[in-house]
Amino acid sequence: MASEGAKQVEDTLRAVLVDVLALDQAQVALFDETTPLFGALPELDSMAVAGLLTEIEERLGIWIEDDEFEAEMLESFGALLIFARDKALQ
Amino acid sequence: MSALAPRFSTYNCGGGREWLVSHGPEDGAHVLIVPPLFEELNRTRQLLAQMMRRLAAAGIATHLPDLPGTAESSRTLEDTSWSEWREAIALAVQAVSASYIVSIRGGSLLDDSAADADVLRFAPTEGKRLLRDMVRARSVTDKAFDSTAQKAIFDGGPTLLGGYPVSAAFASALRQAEPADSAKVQTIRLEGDPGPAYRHIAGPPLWRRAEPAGSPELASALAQEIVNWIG
Repeated sequence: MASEGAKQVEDTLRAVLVDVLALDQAQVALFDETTPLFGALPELDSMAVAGLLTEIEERLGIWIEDDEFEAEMLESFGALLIFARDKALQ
Repeated sequence: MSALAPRFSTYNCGGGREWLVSHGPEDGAHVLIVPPLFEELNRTRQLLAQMMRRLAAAGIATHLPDLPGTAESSRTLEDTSWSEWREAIALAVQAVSASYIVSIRGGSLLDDSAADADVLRFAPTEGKRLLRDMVRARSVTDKAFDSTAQKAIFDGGPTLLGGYPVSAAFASALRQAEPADSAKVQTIRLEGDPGPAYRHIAGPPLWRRAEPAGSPELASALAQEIVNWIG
């Protein structure tokens, strides 16, 4: 079972996806770890990536170094969640 | 004249003339808006316009200045310093006789240059985070903007960031800039923003959206906060 912190990171990521990409809240609520993101969501193009990452940083109070960012991080909701939890809960 | 028609005027700064757009009555409370910086301003222009119209309807006058080297300025940003931006806000406050400042996002890095005004900050941020976002926005779409090119932001340049040629001195000053502590400042933030605030309001962080859009709900909530704050 996920800890309270892990749940909080997940809730924050869902809220950021809704707020930054203007996605429907009901759609994002259905995302699971296998849901593809980059390349699958028309709203998440390369222009939107920077804003998404920066908003995640601000809401989680983390700092993502350039060399930590890899495109694979945005491949699925699960991959983004693993990265964000590693950074936020370390 | 319709209360909804914006008025245009100028203020002098550093030997140049910069534009101001004003909404609302000539009498009553005057508020200088210190807007978000660079690309974040483009993304929030509609929000600012919606908010200013709502405040005008509530009898509050708002004034939105262009900063030197941006928008319709006769100068280029390359030839403008960070300290001139700070000075510009103090001069704009004088030009419109504002007793109040509402600063938004990066505008909060400039709002302490007019010492007499009361300040309401919305979603303030640090200069290093703004710079970071601009660097990232370019690096994800421009492969040639590699670590060497990014290092040159601070010792070479000027570097094209957020649509403007930013000099090394300007970038270095922005990186250091933080909202100043002051007893005359109140801060409100969006729900979900973990930073310190006396109030949180609901709404989307429009400055993050690649597709610019307004938000009538957020504009109304902000306007109401400002009305309550002025009292």
